[in-house]
Amino acid sequence: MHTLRLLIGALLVFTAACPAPTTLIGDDGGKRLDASVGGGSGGGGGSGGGAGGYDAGRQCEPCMVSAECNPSASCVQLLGSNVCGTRCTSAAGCDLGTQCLPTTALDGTKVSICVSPTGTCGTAPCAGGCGPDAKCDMVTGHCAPNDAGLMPDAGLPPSDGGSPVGTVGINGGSVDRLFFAVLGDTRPSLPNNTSGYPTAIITGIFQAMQAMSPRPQFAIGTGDYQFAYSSSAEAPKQIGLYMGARANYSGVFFPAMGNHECTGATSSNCASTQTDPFKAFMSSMMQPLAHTLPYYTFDVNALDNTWSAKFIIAACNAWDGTQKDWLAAQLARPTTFTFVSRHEPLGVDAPCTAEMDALLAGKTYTMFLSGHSHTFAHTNNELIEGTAGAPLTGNAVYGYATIEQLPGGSTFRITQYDSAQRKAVATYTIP
Amino acid sequence: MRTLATLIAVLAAAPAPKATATQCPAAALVAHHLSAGAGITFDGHLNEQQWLDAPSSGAWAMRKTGAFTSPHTELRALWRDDALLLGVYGADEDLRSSDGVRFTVRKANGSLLAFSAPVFEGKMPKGVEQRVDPDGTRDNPADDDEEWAMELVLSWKSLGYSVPPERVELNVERTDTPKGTTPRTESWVPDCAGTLQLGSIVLERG
Repeated sequence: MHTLRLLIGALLVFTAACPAPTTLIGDDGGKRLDASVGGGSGGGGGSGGGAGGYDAGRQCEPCMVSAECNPSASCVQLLGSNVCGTRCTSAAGCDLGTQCLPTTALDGTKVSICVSPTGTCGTAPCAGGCGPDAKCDMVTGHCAPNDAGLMPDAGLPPSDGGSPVGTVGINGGSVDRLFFAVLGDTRPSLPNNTSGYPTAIITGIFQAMQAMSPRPQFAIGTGDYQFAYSSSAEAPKQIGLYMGARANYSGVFFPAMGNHECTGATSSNCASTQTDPFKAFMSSMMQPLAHTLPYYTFDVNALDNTWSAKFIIAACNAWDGTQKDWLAAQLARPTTFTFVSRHEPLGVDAPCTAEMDALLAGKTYTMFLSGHSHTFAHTNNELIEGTAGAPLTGNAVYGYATIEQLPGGSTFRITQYDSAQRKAVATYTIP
Repeated sequence: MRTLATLIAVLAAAPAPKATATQCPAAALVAHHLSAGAGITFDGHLNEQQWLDAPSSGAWAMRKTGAFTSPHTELRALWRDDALLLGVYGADEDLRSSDGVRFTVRKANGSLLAFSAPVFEGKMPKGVEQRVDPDGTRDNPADDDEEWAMELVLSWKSLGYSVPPERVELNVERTDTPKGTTPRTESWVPDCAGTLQLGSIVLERG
């Protein structure tokens, strides 16, 4: 056994001692392959915040601007989608079998990029296959995770029976059919990291909502628009970035408060304390709606008075007896439809959940809209929408959802959108 | 045993592989230097300004395919005169005891140091210390968790260096099981031609 260890050790040292390019032993049965590693590339540039050289997420991947791409790539439109295309000056600069074609980047710059004969970005689509976890995206040429929730009608615009009409203002409104957007969780991964704020993503989401036809009548935010310390000047900066992005959408935005609008802890309660994130939320997001409390309600009714809907926006991280009494009164108010929104999903241990979940358990409501988890998920009539720029979990892409009241009045269709690709990725109906 | 020894001997005696047409892209990440007395509290929180200022790897990709993936993971690095500091952030909707990050680091003598660091902390090799800040509940898939952050300190001595090198070659892989799916492995540097790759942490000086 000792001899075997010596042999293996000698082999590793021998392997490592070879001059560059570095040779590694793979996990595919000991097959030895060349791999140029490091080699002085990289070094802090690029939009990824310092990763030089290869960045798998920025080559032939969705983009809004060229700054999101590798330094050697530009954000261009291919097959109707915006992707980071590798620039070239001739076919010699592209992989075998691909062409160097002139085009115009989204910023107006004339560039040439490598395109496969099928129009796919870069080389042949998904060369080498994608394996059981993924499928080939024919636009980017990259493997993309399978979406188990994809429904047969995904990709279709949510417009049966004509475009909804009517208006909704900060105090509610009247429409013939409800058609609104839901988005949530927009923040950097680390506290006070304003330079890492996902401005491009949230801007793209609001721009995509604005570009929809028909356009959502209003939007509901499920919370967490920042990640700053309780006492920090970064809080208003991050909320400012959010509201700057939000200005791309002309409808009214009704935000719920998240735990990151208090201290950041899920258990934090700002009912009697005011952190800087809370102050920024109240002054920049509640004040335009003329609210002095972080919880509120608004109604949207049918133009022909055949139905009514109330939207209850609770603040789980500013929970006290006053809000509990208010919530009980609002839930008791008779309307055809009731939409309840708060940041934390049902069952998550937060200041309100014990009392609020008990109140909800005795009531019938149309939908419960939450965020907190940075994914898109749904169970029965609960929707978790947390894909608006915060670090993703689950099997999700950045985007938002729409909720559409279908003709007939009592069925709602929920559609999840990939905001970068501007396409539906999942859809379902309730009840 | 004899067969295995023969196999190793044959493998060791095999001629060095010729360069193939496959050019594996390089990955590099700059590590800022921490001066003496720079206040980094070793607690798993990546909240000090030095961590915020540290270049980030950006989102990782599926290790096997290089495809974009979720959950989101990031790597940052700093260095001191006595150690390399690694910070890993992982978005995680369901924290589990089995969740972990695997580090593969090339030591000064060329050998590889490989170890796993669970997100609820575990026994580390000599000279390696770990702290984790989990934001969520352990092994409770019924609720929704948010994320975790991990600080790792690797002493230069543990890597066989008497003085800090110019760069360190390593890769970091994360295995996670999003709700309702099977385990998936993503990494800072995806595989190239089916082979595990190492990226470079470049130690910034001056």
